[in-house]
Amino acid sequence: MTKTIALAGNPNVGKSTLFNALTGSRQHVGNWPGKTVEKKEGRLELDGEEVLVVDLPGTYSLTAYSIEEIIARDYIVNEKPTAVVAVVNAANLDRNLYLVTQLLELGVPAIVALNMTDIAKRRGLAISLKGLSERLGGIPVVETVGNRSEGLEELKKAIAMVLERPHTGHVQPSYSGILGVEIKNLEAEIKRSGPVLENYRPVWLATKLLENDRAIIADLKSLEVEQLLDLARQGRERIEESTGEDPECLIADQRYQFIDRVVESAVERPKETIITRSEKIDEVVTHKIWGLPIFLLLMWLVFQFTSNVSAPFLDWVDVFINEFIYKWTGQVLELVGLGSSWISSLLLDGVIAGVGGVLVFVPVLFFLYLALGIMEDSGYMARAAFVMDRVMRWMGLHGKSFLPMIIGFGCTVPAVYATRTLDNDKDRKLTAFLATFMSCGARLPVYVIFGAAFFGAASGTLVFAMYVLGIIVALITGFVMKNTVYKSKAPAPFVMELPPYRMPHPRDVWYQMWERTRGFLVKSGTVILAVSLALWLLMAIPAHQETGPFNQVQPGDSLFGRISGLLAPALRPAGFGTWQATGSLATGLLAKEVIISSMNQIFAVESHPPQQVITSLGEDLLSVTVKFGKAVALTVQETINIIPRTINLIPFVDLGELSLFPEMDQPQEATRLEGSLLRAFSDSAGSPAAGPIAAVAFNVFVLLYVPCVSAVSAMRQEFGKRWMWAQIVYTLTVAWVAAVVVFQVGKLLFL
Amino acid sequence: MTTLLKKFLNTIEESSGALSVQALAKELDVTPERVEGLVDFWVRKGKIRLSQASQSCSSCGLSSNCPFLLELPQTYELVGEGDDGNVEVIQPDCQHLY
Ligand SMILES: Nc1nc2c(ncn2[C@@H]2O[C@H](COP(=O)(O)OP(=O)(O)OP(=O)(O)O)[C@@H](O)[C@H]2O)c(=O)[nH]1
Repeated sequence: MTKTIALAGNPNVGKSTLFNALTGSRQHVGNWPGKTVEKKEGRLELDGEEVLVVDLPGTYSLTAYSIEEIIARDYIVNEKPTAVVAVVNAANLDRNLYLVTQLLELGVPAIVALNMTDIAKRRGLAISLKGLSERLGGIPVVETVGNRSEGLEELKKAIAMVLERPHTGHVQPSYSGILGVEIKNLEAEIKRSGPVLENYRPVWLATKLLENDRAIIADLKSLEVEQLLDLARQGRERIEESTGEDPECLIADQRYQFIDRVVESAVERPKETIITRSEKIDEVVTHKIWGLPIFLLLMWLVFQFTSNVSAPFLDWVDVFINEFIYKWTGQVLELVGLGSSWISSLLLDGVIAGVGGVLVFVPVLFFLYLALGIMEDSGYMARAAFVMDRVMRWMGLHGKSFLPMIIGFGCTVPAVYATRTLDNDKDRKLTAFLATFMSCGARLPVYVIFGAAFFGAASGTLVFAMYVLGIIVALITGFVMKNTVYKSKAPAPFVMELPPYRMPHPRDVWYQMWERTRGFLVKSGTVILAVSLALWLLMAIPAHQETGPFNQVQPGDSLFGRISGLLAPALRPAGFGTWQATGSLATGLLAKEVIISSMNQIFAVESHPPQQVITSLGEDLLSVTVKFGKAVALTVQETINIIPRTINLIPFVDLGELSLFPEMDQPQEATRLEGSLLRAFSDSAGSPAAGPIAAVAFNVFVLLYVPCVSAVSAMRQEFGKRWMWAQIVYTLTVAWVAAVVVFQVGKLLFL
Repeated sequence: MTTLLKKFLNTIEESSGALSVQALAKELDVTPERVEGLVDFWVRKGKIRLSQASQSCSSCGLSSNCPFLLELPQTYELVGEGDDGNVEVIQPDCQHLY
């Protein structure tokens, strides 16, 4: 008869890797009889003898909890392999030994393959093979590194040895107290039952009966051992009576005590591990009192970084597209005789102005995703959710809700889907509702451009304020809903795995940043191009015949201008009741970043062509290059300036900032888009001084009003039409009220 | 005598807010790995449920992974009365997006 060895182990310990290394290409993959779980068998040649190798499903235990566990256990009990190789993750011995303990209890000859020893060593764990083997009753223990095929020969040798002389000197947890007494009782009864139970090792079966293992009890029912089952039931009752504990818990507890002794004598841990260092950081970062201010400070830094560092590039891209490309495309069109045709207008005011509007915020997104990537990769993001749990709880909300909300900082659509992690339908709906107030990546360019136009170096503060406002509005909404329509019991506490902190990996961060920026551009590029063309058309069609022929109409008199103009009065109390602002907000329903491209396009049509200083292509190219160099230098300067600016947050401290181009500290010449925004908002607000207030009100509106169509349709798909409409109405109302309050109160305070 | 397993459940039940695995380990005076083991045990018994926000959004045409999904940590929570304790597998589908 061929000898058989089975590989057992927790999921992901490298079992399949070792299986492949042992059997090479001589494998057969099928299913376990009657199950959909994959069964892998292979052959291994040992000293000229063929041995069958079976890969058991990965499990943490051998109870009757899952099909995998039952398959693994039944195989060992019924098929009786000659030996079992327990593949163990050396870096997490404690958890892995639970399964090994159960294998020992089963009484099969076993070998421990201590895999992932490379990782264990890197973590500074020293595991004594001899100590481990002794503590486990002398079974062979072999070190392996599966993915590098290290230790294979030793493993094969150990297998050969055990196959030769199957080792049965088993140790196992010595169940003490009443548990031990009851196990002895049952063991005796099992031995008395004779051959019907010879398949089972008596002490193991006794333990299983006391654990009340459903699968085993079902098996025994067909064997007519009623008396044994009765005894087992009585035994369980006696244990519960005298200890007040579930026998299964007591058994597990004693297994843990056994494991503790094994680990204690076989493993040496470093004093200062990565884990303990992480714990020290967490003591500060997730502290009851400091946690929240630290979270806010980090957010402040992120937005200082994103907006101030990207601003010089933003200006440069604006100049590059709106002046250089615009001008020279115009020149080329002039050359080929299309100077003032509608094609030229479509290209310049439709395509270039619109798509240029997207490119303008590439730098912003780049730096946002860089900052987010660093927070994510370092392990801080999980802590943010952890810290926010406390705040959420004050409001009666489920702390876990903050996880989807964090995703909302990137994009609202996956945030809506991520609410599926919440178990309760009410919490899900509420969380999705709140997640739309988290400021997504698409809203950021709007704040950054307004910030640069109206607030210069303080634009980071505007951006930060918008993000915080989003969180506050979400929390207030949640609080109100929880106490009115959505009354429910206090949220249950939860446990979270906080990954250890690590140095962010530049390659991972770069990859994430690149993928996100690209994803964003692909999506928004398509939407924006379509919107730009539609918008150009709508702005070229006159509203009335009197207002002029196609493409010669004043933008305000175009179809787009007139329709937007109808809605504009509703926004007047908020300080931006112009057709331009209203129209852009309407296009923003498609995707919020479209607001910027629409404004760019509207102002491109409106503004008179920049006064033509005659310059040659060469001169323009040189100027654009020089400006790029300046942008790089300014970015460096701004990065450095984050330090004094942060320190200046402390009251009465006022550090100076670095300035590479003192001549640029004079109020800078605004770029075209910025200049247009300044003018337009000063006009609509009533005075240049009120302009910035109206701009803030506009940003508040952008933050809070209906999220884009994709998010709305995700809401509909997940929660139905009623919720979708409720959300649209609610967000519009909140946005309008908030914008009006900001503008009116702002005027009272600052004018 | 209370078993470690019981203490573990009680600690979560009595906690006034979220707990990290590390904090729980400290509270129970065991290693974080042991806490994972305790979690395994109670998940099998149906008293604790795992959930993790999805990491895949493969149906969208952009790329095989939605770049905006952050890798969120695993969380555990007590299964309340009346819950069936099923662990939901989450596969959001944002194909209508692109
Ligand atoms: N660093 C390190 N990685 C390993 C080692 N052995 C395996 N791996 C890697 O660990 C991962 C998981 O290995 P698998 O062989 O698929 O694990 P498994 O136990 O079969 O997993 P399940 O199929 O879930 O039971 C793979 O990426 C392997 O390359 C090792 O000794 N050291």
